[in-house]
Amino acid sequence: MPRPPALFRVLLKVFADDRFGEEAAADLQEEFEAMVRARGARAARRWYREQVLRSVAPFLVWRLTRDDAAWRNGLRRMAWSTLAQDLRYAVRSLTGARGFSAVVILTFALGIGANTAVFSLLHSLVLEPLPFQGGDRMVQLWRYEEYEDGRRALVPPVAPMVAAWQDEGVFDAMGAYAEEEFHLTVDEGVISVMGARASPGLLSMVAATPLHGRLFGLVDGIPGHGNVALLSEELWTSRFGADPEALGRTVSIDGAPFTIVGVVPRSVRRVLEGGFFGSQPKALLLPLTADAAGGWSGSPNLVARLKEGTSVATAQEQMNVIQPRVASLIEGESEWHPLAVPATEALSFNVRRGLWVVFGAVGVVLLIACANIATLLLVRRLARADELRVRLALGAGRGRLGGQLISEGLLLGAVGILLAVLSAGWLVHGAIRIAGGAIPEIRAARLDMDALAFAVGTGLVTMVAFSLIPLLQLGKLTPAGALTRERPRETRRPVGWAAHKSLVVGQVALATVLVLSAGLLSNSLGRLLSVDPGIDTEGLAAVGLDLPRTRYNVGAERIALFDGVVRGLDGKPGVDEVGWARFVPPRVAGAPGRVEVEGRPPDEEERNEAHAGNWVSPSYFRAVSSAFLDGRSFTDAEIADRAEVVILNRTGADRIWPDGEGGVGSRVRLNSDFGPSPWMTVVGIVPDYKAWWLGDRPDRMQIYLPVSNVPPRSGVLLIRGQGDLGDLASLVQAQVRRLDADLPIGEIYWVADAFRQSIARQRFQAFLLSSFGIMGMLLAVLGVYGALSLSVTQRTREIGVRLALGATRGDVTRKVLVQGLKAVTAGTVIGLFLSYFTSGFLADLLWEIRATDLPTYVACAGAVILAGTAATWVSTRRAVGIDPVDALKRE
Amino acid sequence: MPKGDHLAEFEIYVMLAILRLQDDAYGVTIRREIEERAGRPVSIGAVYATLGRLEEKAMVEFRSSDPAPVQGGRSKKLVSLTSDGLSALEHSTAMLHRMMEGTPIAQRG
Repeated sequence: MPRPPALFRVLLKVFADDRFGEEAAADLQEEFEAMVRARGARAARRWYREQVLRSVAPFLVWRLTRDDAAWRNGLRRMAWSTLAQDLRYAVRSLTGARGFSAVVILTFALGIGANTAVFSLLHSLVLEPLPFQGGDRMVQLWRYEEYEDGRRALVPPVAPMVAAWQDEGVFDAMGAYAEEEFHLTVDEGVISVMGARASPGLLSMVAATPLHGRLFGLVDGIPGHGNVALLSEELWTSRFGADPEALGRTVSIDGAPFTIVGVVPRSVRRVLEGGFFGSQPKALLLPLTADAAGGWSGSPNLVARLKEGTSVATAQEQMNVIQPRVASLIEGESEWHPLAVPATEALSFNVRRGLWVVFGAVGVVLLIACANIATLLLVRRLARADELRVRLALGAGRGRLGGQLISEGLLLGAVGILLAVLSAGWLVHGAIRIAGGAIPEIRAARLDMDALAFAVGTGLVTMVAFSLIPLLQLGKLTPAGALTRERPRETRRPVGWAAHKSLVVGQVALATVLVLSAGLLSNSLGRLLSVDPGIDTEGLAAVGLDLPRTRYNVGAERIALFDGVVRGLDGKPGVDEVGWARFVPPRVAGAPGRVEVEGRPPDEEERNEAHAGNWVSPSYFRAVSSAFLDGRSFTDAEIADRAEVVILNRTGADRIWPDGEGGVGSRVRLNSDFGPSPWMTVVGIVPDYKAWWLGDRPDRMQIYLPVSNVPPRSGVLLIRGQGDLGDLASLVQAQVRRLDADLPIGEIYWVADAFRQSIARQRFQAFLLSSFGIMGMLLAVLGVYGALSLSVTQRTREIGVRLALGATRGDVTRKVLVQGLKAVTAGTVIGLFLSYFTSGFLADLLWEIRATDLPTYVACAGAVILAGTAATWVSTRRAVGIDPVDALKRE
Repeated sequence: MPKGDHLAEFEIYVMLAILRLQDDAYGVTIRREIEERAGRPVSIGAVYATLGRLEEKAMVEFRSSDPAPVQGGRSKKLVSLTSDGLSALEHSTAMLHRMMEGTPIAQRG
């Protein structure tokens, strides 16, 4: 007997009440059956539909006029009880297939987690690095001079240029900032605080709102008007106890009184430290004062917001047109050109390239994951076919079965989502920790909720769709047909090994590409980490010291202070060596100019270009344990007399004296755009060092000048000793205070850490890609296992027959092994080829290793084949466990 | 008679059908009776909603029949008029007749 349409039966149940609902349904059923006999199923169904639709209104009206709250509760109860029942069943069913469930959840979690994490990073670094209104129209403003070789020197624009741009209205808004280190007097004494001076317009450009108090107003930019300061949320909490009364208090900054007028929230600070506005921490903000011409005093960095609808090119054009007028006002300005750099270019280009590669890797991981889930669900389909057939025979409706399968899918998906959020959060957190130092833009990265929602939504839809596969496969099976094990046409020819093989081969190939990329990047990182920085960084700490502008105006005073601190620390317990210099690697300044040798015509070639320069004290080389290859360090007498002396590095000396003559005792000078320096005597030759990062090219010329050459106002104290940073910092601070009670020290750090920080980008990329390499490998292994298990299950009967006919378990095992190994090997080989042809993408990210490095290829291929073999082996256990009698009894 | 005891048109039809069907009055039969005699489609929902209202007014009462003597046969909810229902029906129909008296419809009917 045909049944009335299910949807309308449900509709009737929903709207009919408790009192007569069953009766109405039974009555309609009775009439439906009579109508089927009289006029056929089609007419009967049509009549049924009409009856239900006509009955809705009367029932509703009666309900509403009766004010039957019980009905509404009943509806809710019914829906929930069905859901609860489905969920209970789903939990039972899934815990019964723990292996399957765990693998699907893991695959789901990894795929979504990785996808979301990388997209979140991409979002904060590339897609929306300036998350405020108008952020996509922000540009940095520079002026540049071009050298013959095409290089450009970028410096901030000068005031007349700024004034002209303002007059002509080239931009919608302009802002300026200058990073600075301030000396803030607190209860404990004077501390060093990193911050910046910012123009009032800057804060409004980033749509900042104060946490407390107010931000800078236009009036604060007028010199002498009032000294005001803004605290960051962290500084306000740590030094002022988050006390609202702190607002309005007067504090001493660099010896002058300032009134605290507001607190800047964390989110604003992140934007201001994100690289576009410089990457120095900004715990304290002072207003940038305007000068008489209305521009800004000093040469702060400039940023601007383009007018709505104006492109960077148009603004650049306008600036170019204005420039000749400005140049005529300033002497020597004709060589300089204005430049507007949009945010997307201003931020680390190399990072972006690396991230897109990583994004590609994530896509690959996702592909593997999808193939995996497809295979696993196909395996499960076979296992459940019998169960579903029986339930169908017992009267379960397709809708109900479908509901239960969907519940299973959703349950798996829900657990997977939980894990995905955790893994995504962990990945983003890890990335920030590793790369936050060198890639400041990353600090603002947060788990992108939109990406998560999208990935979750897609994942859930996929899960639900795949879950229904077993139901669809049952086709037009009737309950009676189910009991007689009649197999519908669709399942008479099950999908064979051939189709699964391509899944396996594909997964292994993709996993190989991932593992290889990870291997190459890790290899590259390993080489970087083992580079000799040129100085002994073991136990070497560095701490900056900034002398205030209001004092120490005589060079000798500055040198005397630093020397005094060094003398005070020398010989103290826990201190092995101490020295000082203007810079310490890897944060050494560049040295413009070419080195000329006395007695020789000036060599115009670039090979004599000095790359790194430092001003050092006599104690510096001892402190960094740099042994002299020839000659000696500067002497105290030479410092006192301001002698013209210089020390060169080995490579530099070899450059200018390739045939070995010259060296210590010869005279050289530095020729730069500012003219030639006096002739200096070379007193020593030292080994090369890495000036900027571990990957520095080894062929650079490095010069050392004595501190008396340009007595520095800020320098670095170097201490080699035992004890932790806190102990060393206290020691140094005590010595400094002894000589100057109001002088704070900067942040102390291990030089080794600074070198590690210099390769943060490489570590970051290697970390990400290795994570994905491992994920990809894991997923591929699971995929191999899944596909082979499926094949074995499908061929249970065949295997049972073979065993019954006398084949040994060894024969069976060997057959399955060979089947699996062939697929794994094929996949690996394809993967290697794919990697070879796409090696160009990786080449830029590698250091001292080719993207087609043979040993790495061999090692990674080996790893993949090993993993695939292990998965194959485990699935043979399943084949071996088949009892021939059972197998023959099946079907 | 209290105002609340006045019957609506469909209520009268249902009660008249119950009266005619006697011991065989339940959802299916009532619905078919009205549909055939009134010549218009009647939904089961309308029938039961009306029966519910009538039950609330204590004009009808229900009892369960024995299950039908076939496999899977069900026990039906048979309905009959109460004495209040019967008198309400008589009263309503009498009122209708009195209203019709002397009108062209009464002469034609």
